[in-house]
Amino acid sequence: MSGNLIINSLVPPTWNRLKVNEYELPLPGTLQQDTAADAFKTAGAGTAEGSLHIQTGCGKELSDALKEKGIIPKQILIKGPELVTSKIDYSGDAADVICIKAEEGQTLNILTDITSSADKAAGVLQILIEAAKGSVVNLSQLVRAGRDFTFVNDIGVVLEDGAGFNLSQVFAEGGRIISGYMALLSGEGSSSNVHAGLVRKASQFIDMNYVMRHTAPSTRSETYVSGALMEGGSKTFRGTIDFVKGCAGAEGAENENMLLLDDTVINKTVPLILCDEENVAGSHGASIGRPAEDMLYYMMSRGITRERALKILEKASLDSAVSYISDEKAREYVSSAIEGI
Amino acid sequence: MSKETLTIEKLCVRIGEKEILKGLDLKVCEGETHVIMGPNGAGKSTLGNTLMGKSEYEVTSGKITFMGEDLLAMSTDERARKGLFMSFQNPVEVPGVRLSEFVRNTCEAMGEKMSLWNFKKAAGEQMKVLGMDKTYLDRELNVGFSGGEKKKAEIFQLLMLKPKLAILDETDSGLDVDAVRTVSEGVKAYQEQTGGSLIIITHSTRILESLKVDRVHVIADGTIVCEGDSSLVDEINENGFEKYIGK
Ligand SMILES: Nc1ncnc2c1ncn2[C@@H]1O[C@H](COP(=O)(O)OP(=O)(O)O)[C@@H](O)[C@H]1O
Ligand SMILES: [Mg+2]
Repeated sequence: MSGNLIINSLVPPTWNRLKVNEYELPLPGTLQQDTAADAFKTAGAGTAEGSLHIQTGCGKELSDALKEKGIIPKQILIKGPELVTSKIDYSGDAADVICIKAEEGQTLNILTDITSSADKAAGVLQILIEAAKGSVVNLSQLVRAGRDFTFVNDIGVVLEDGAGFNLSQVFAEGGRIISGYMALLSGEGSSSNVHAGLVRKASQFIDMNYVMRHTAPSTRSETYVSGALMEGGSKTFRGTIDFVKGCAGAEGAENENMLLLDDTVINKTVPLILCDEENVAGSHGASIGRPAEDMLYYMMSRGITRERALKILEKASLDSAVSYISDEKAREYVSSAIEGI
Repeated sequence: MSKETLTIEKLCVRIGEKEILKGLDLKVCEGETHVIMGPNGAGKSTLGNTLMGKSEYEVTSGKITFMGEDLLAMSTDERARKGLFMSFQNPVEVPGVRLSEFVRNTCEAMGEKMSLWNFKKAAGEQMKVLGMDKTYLDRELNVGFSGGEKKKAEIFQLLMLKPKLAILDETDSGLDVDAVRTVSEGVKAYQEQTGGSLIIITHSTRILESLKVDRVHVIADGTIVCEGDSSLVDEINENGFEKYIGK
């Protein structure tokens, strides 16, 4: 494999002047596998060889590269709604493809906690999810890797009739985060709910590509990103709601709420609503660059130092994503984890 | 002679290129209540924000002494910790931060470490004065609060923080009769509990009803144009500011 991978690509690529069409990832030469699969095993889940072919947010180039490098997909077997907490710690360059199937009517609660004990390294976690009729999958993700760590978080979900996928992501720490998400809403009345909270500072960045593809009638997607940027932190968010012909009555909403805490930050947003169907409702809302200075002034006028006020605002940016974690144990886990950051 | 809490001498302030305060003098002693009136745009909020140390308000000349120290040398949070408080004309909304979490942080910043239990108890007592439901503690700071609720939340913080000097910037504006009465009760409770000083910026007499006013100042075009006792408030309410403008 030579050269960089082109991932997180926007379709269609029309925003060239902003340089936000895609992300170029230098993938390490050798990648350990099963870091994540073993973490699931430790958490009590069974594993087997998996074979799901699901499109992800990062895209085909990443999936192909992982295959080429011999990464074998692992199926994670989870029986019931009892929370499975997978603590994934990267000690070197590593990649995993995790497959999860929710059977008809099943509810799954999964939490991934990403840390890194090796700093200058990269971890790739691809999670492919198939949600059968009427099933609900609640996935919560906490990322608190090292300042020099590159983490590629790539999710693909296929939803059958009435299935629901709820994703809460808390991007607290980690030097470079590349996050892809693709939901294929192919079952009537299926839904995707994403709440992502992020803090980027000290030149950390995150590159997000989220695609909600509605192909079936009465499908719903809601995507909410809240975050705080400071000290050279940067964020690119591509949010695509794709209404494909035949998805009559579908509704898609994306919303962003970014707090820009100084003028060294880079905040790029590419909202895209593609529409091939008449009877749909798509919306994009953003309150970007909220009056952060006024908030800081208000807080300081009550005796709180600027440093402390920034911390409070940072935590608040993550908290809204935490509050949407439906499993109580998972919510408490993430909440107390970010308390100490 | 009673102790001086705040002394402002020949204060000039500008925002950008625009000069707003043009040589303002004011003295507030311990336990006194001062009222500031003046037409819209006179510089009343500018005075409050300058005292609080908002960054875009540039003091070009003059001196401010608070509790015997040079106020202008302090950052906003230091001023607050020294005992200065301002109830904002338009309190900002801070999504994601609960009122209880925020006020606990402010109490802690003031050096008052309280257990959660004691905090809830103290907060509950002060909220009772203001007829505020305890559920407000769990709401996000000022988010979706009505005008009246925002002002009550400000006075709630005044009661929790017990400053030496509180500036109330149109805390009564836009409130209904009952809300003004409640807020006024809260301000009275502050006076009784702490013996602190007050600068009340207002257009009406209602908030002043249960308070003893020591001095009234009228600001127009960046300076104090008239001073008097509490009877001045009624006079202005009857005759307006016309007499003082362009004088
Ligand atoms: N941030 C600002 N930038 C520019 N001009 C301002 C700003 N704040 C206030 N001003 C101007 O300063 C003058 C005084 O405003 P202010 O102190 O708010 O008046 P008051 O509170 O007495 O109604 C007004 O002309 C107003 O337009
Ligand atoms: Mg004003």
